[in-house]
Amino acid sequence: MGTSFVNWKEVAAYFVFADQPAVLVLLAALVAVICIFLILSIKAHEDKAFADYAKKGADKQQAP
Amino acid sequence: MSTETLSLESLDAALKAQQALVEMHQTMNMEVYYWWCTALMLMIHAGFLAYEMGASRSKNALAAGIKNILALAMIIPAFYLVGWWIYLSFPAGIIPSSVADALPWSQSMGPKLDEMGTGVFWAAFALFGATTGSILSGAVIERIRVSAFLILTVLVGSVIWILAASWGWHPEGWLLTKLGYHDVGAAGVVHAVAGFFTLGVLINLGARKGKFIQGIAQTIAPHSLPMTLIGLMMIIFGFFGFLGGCIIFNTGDTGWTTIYGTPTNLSAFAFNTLMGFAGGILGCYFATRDPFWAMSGGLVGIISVAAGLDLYDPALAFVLAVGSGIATVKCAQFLERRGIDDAVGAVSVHGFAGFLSLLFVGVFAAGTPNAEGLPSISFTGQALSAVLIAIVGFVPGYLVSYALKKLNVLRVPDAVEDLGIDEVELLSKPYPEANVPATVQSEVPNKLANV
Repeated sequence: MGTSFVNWKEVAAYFVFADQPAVLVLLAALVAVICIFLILSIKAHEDKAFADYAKKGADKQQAP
Repeated sequence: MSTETLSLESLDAALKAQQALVEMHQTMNMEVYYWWCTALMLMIHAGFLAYEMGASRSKNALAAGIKNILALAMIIPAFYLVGWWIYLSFPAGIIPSSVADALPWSQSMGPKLDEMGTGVFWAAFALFGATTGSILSGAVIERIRVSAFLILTVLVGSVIWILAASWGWHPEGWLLTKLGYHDVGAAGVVHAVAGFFTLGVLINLGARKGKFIQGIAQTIAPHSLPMTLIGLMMIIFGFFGFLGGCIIFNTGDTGWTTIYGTPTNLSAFAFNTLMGFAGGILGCYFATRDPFWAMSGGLVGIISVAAGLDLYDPALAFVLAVGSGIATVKCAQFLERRGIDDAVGAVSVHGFAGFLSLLFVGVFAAGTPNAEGLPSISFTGQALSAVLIAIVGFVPGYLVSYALKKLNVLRVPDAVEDLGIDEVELLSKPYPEANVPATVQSEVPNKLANV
């Protein structure tokens, strides 16, 4: 699908999509998006975990 | 006559074939060398993992660990995206030159047969970056939010340190070409930058709950000091990969050089790394009688001589490391008395010792020539560079952590800090069958306060 050459003579960059700069830009952008998404997802998880814990504490205090 | 001509031609061809073979093997050896340096450097991160988990109380041991693991996993792709480009684009200052080959979508940033070396160099630098992230990681344990930490660690590990490295650890870096900067073992561009970045973060993050009572520093004992000590020794082991990666394995007839192109060899690094290691341990132990600080002293000693590993007499390296060990403990005491809770002494061990290391080169190796056409090493050049590097580390660390604090996303809530981050955020316990976390003040005396 993405191979950049068909024989090994005079090959330099031989990784997949090496001859398709637009795809390489897209893949690099995807790496950035994944990293940013991961941080945001961790923040969302923290917000939820901290809120759940605070709620649990409040419920305990209200319990007879 | 004809036979003789043919024979000479065939000899010439055979010689050329042998030369090509030697060149190919030299290049392969170079790749192999940096491959194994990188592998050894991973031991630094295994060490930081054990060190920080051990230094935490058991209620936060897993949070300290996951923070460290995620830092490594985030810095590597971030460094791939921007780090290598920054290193190659900013040696002249803050205006980038165009280095299209270092962009992440370049053909050079992937498997390529006519560019052996790029990948292993990139890998070594990526792990240098991960080391800066780990330096920050230890200091902020037990109260920082993982998400905030990841933002900060990506910043220092893939942008800030490598900017300093472009200035001071690049053959055309302006600190070298204008000031004669000398820092072969990355004492400034890795350790001092990360240490001062950490200081900026700690000011905004604040101390762990219970660290200071009425302004008096209390001991928050590590839950596993043995794990911490073993972790520190693993870091020292990894340092041999780190420092090996600081030497240039040249092909051709040049031999080993420093990153500045001046001659050196592995023996120089071996003499002074080990003598610095030993001196640092003795200095810190003398100053504290404390196992944690004694082992940290090994790091202090190596870092304090790292900038001049190629130039020192081994005995001088030992003496400098002993003195640095004592001075680093004093620095840690100074910071603690001012309300800075640096859980593992990272600012002192990396920031202060890295700073000292740069000054030592200026004092003891002043006048040593750099590569032809570049200014010689001088105290003024080293001192100015050290101050600049401290600022380059401190300012972004302070500003970004300040912004995160204002957004109320820097620190975990008080109640979470009380119970422990492991149980609230990770929903797990490091030792589920063990007893409850410490809830009372430790009876272990504060060694820094009592010296």
